Amino acid sequence: MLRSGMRAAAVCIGTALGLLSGSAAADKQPGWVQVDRIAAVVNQDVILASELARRVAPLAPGPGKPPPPGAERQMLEAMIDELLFTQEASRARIEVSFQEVEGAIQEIKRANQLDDAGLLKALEQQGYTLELYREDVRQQILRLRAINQVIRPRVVVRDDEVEAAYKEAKKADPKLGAFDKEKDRLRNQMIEQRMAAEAQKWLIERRLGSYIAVRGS
Amino acid sequence: MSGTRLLTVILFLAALLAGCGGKTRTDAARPVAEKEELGPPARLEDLKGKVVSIEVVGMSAERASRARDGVKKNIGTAFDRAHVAGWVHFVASLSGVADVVAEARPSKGGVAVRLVVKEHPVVRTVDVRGSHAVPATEWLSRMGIKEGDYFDPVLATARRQDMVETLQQFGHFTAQVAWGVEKAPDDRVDLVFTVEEGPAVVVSKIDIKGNKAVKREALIEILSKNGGTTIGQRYWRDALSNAMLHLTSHYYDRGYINVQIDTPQETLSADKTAMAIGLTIREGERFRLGKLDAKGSLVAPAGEYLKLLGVKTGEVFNRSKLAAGLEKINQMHRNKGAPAMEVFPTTELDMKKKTVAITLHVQGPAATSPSPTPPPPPPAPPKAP
Repeated sequence: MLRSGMRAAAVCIGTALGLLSGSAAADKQPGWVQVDRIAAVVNQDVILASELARRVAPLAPGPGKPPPPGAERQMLEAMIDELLFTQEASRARIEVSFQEVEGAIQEIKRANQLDDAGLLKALEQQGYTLELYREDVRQQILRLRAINQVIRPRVVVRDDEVEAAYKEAKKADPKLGAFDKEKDRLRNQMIEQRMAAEAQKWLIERRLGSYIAVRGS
Repeated sequence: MSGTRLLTVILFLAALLAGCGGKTRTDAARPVAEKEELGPPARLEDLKGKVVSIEVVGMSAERASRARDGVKKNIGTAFDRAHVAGWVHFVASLSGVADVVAEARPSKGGVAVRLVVKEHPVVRTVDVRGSHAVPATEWLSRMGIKEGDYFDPVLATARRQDMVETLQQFGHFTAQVAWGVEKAPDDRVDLVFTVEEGPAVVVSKIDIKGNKAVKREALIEILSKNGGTTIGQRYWRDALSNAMLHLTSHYYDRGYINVQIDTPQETLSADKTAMAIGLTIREGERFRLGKLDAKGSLVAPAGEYLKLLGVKTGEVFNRSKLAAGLEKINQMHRNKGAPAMEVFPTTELDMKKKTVAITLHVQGPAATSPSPTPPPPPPAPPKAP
């Protein structure tokens, strides 16, 4: 008897609570929703979740679909590396003028055959405003300059190395042109490869000397 | 009252209390009390209209007010998540801020925004442990972190890096420094730097490649000059860098004006106690002196200038000898009551004859010119086509 009475009471309470919370919720103002947060701290700068989301969005297989697993973390690591180069640019007092940014954007429009409206539409699809995109382009130019200033001097390609590379390439492909015709291409290729390796080395060193903290969601 | 009815009433009251905010907030970063009870979180797409308020919570009233001052001008502007991102960046840049979360909700007439801040703890003490090569007191005196400061992990990391670099300069090439915080009373922390100096690395061998004009023994002697790099003695990167300049000068004084010495190859032994150094030298061609001349506001015949310069056409180029000669010319100017006269040499290379022509330009005080002494080595010749 007692047991069945308790069951009845529980149902009753459940109903009462349901009614109570339902009516109260209808009157309540909506609660706080998270708009943004820090995704990572990189020395004195931070990367925000909104910035990360904007960069990850194009990696999603389709509209409204989530990006592939691990893409977010990978992108965050790439953004941390970018920020380390940006900080280096700032340390080296490298600057990028508004005109240079505008010039780069004009070049991007030309290469993609876009007019102003087309660019704005393309940016909107990627979650960018023109203002945000300008800043993004500015940062990209800064990083390129930092890489040229910091990494390029570390790379040396000697004449004898170019000659050795040519001999190797000629052995592999006897149809390869004469040395004088190929040497500049080979040298540039070697510079590019060594710069990529040096950039990785620099980043490892810089990460060791930096404060980097990734924040959970 | 039956047992069942009593239980119903008790549970009902308990439910009412729970629903009326009887729970205690445990998150210190949340506002102490909210004036109105809020429903479930809003949706991002509901955040439309003007920003009607911006709160900063989780900081002391004074600091929160200062933080708010930096963003309050945005009240009244249209709500835009990009702007909120800017405010988060701003608040995150303030001292002592560890984390920031931006939240918003629809409110009367627009959108209310709040920036929920988590602060770093305050430092109670700073200590350095395990340091012998440099006393802890020395580290602490240049630390720039003191009791009462907000703990700053970025600054602690920078100090750690400075310490590692200093220890490497002292030959502790494998030195490692870590920082950590230990909880102290009153929510403060003790900041501790732990030093592992590792062994002082010793130079085990020096390989030199590409030297033909200068014998290995002479180069080894230059490397070890002034307590520099010597086999069997402590490895010190600064000393090696300094020795590179001496090596280059040695070649300049023997006519090898295009000498190039690659960045030394350093190979640390597996047990990290010995460093093998590899040097690659490209000596280039040896140059002799070509035509010598003196021009400009000379205070003595050109011949006297060239005599004081102390070198002759056909001699092997010697930078130190030229520097000494220029000093004698400056002395002559002083002796003749013209101390303000400036001499600066220009050089011209003849790649076929392997000669360097030198012209001394003498100018009065009004002229603007680069530093007159010592003469720079001639510029690198253009690459042969």
